[in-house]
Amino acid sequence: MDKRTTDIVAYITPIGLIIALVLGDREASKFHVNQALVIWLASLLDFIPCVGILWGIFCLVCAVIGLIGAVNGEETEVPLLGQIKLLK
Amino acid sequence: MNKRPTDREVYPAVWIAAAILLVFYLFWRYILGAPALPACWFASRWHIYCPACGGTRALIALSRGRLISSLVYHPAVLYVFGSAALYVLSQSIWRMRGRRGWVLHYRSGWLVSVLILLLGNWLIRNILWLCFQIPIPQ
Repeated sequence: MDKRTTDIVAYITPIGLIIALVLGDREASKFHVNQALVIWLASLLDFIPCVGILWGIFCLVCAVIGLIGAVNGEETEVPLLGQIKLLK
Repeated sequence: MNKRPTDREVYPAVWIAAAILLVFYLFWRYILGAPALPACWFASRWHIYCPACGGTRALIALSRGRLISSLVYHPAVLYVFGSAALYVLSQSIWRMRGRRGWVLHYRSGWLVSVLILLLGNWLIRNILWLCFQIPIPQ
């Protein structure tokens, strides 16, 4: 997969992220793969009672913002979660 | 170079998120038959309110058009959905008019104000409950 496809696929559900990690160009797409990883990991907190729904809506909006950035070929940093770097 | 999100990303993101949430709402309302919600796990277990206590009920009250109830259950919900609706409306009108006239732009300060509302609501609820035994529906 080329860089742009990897960027886009990473935001399309956690399965897309796994596909991007396994089959994609991880080095070139490091920014979007990292950001998608952070968003999908953060969305696991949806299952916590109380704040889960609000957090889920926030993660959904972040994923869509990241996806639109990837489609436009830009490295758009989503609020709060975009500053976390998990992939070196 | 990383860039911060602008209206170019946020405007379509709000539309897409609203469409997904509508699908979830219709599923909950018509397929599941609008089942009753359990009380907050945190409040039931620890006997103090959590920062999001009342959020789900505020969302349901808002979906039924009960603005005051929604505000009492949780002010952040009305703020988030009200400001998102105003943002989308002003952006849509602005785009239809050829990007002229007044418009609301996305600012990261919105997120900070939501966090302040969550914390403020949490503090006020717990002070009313712990100091004066005044319960607020959760």
